[in-house]
Amino acid sequence: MRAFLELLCLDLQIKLKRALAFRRNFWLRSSIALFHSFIFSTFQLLLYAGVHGYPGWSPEQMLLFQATLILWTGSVDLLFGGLAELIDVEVVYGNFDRFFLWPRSTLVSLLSRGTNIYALGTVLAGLVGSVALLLRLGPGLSVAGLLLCALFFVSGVWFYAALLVVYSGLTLFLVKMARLREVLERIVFFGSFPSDAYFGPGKSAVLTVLPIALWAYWPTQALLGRARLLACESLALAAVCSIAAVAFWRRQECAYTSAGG
Amino acid sequence: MLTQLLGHQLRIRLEYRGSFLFSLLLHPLVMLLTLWMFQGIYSHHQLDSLLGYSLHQMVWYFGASHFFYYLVWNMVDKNISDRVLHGRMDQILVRPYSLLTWELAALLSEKLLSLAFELIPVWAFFTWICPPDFMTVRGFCQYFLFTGLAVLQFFLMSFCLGLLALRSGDASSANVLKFVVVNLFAGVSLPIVFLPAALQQLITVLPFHYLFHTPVSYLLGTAGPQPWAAALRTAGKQCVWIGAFLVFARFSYTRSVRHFQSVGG
Repeated sequence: MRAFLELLCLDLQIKLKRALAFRRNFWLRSSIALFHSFIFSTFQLLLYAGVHGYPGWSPEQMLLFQATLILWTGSVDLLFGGLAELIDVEVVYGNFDRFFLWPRSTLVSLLSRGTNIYALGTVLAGLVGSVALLLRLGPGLSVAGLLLCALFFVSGVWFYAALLVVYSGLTLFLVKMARLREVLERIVFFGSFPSDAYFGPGKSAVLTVLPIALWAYWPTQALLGRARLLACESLALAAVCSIAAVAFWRRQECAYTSAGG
Repeated sequence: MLTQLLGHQLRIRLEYRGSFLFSLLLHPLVMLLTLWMFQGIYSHHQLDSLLGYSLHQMVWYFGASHFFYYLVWNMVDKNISDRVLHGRMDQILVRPYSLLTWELAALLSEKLLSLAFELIPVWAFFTWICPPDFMTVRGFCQYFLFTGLAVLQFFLMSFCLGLLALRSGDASSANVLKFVVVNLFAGVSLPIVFLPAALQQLITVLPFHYLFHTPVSYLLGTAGPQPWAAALRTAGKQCVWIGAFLVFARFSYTRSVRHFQSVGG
């Protein structure tokens, strides 16, 4: 874990230096990323207002949900935002072999090289928004709620990383991923709605089968003091998915055949 | 050249058919999640129609955003920017075709194959999951007319953005900007009717709604039954925008290419 974090910080440093070589582009792209997060959240709120609200969510609670969502999307974008493109390019151009020569395991090397420095502004905006709304919540907030929120948040990031590991494993096998990246982005999109908005089987799907509720729904519910036992099922499934994703990666790694580069 | 590029793209698709089939299999899941989400909202509020959209129309609106990515969305600006950044622009500039012609031919070949191999199967999946009881033959034909024009319009817009790389070296910010603008002003992420009235008026003045909102409103019939005369008038306005973008693209290319400095590859 320590090696992973060190490599992650190193990758962020390198990306920052590289981005600053084109300063104007860097500032412009960071600003646009930040603007996009706000626009996306505004759209979600407009949709919320347009559909006359989601069951069990007041406007203020939806604002907190949106702030958590910005923080979560910013965090995963900062940590793994460039990973899908990295594995695509490395495999298509036959450069993946070098991952086997590096001192750390291929999975650690891969996951620590997919950072996206342009998402830094989004993380900061999400942090500021979440803290401001938490202060507004005031007395309703408990230490247990905060700890549960942190647990769900980290598990959500972990589960997202597991999805990326599966994606990367598939890339070793399929080489060119065509529309699969868009499908992955669409799955992230479904996590940006409270799970209560879904109907019957859809709700079960986002809570347990594919526990995307861990991304923003359960952390917000924890902050609101409404976390339920069902969240444990999401956590357990995320853990099972992570183990299965690593096992899948190991299998794909063994089956990988170099095509030169 | 278009035929050769078509053959080339077809060979690529057949070579990587696994990922293509896999992504086709995942699309019903995406459509089902969209259906379940809106079923939950409509049934909770006991709605038959929401801002003029029935449940099936709403689901198809979000489903149609996939068709937008198959048929209209392009990465022309990113392709140009990457070539400049990685020193691969020289080989394009010495070809017997202009950059504009080459990129357009490559794009058309890609989109024609997307139409045949992606749009038709996914459309069939969507029809099976959520029958489009609102759709008419006229609306269907008008959708494809506007989508064809949108391909040209969006190509020219992306090409102009890509040319920024000839001046600045890295135009990746333009790619991100394009994504945000299209999501906001073309109605890809949300039906325009959900936006405030002032923003809706602004959107109708700008050319972006021709990319997604206009074709989809004809497909879903949300703009009411549109006679061909009205549709052709709208198409005429879009052609004026396309002409303006073409003139601007040619002008920008001749100016920008003078700033390009090859650094090898």
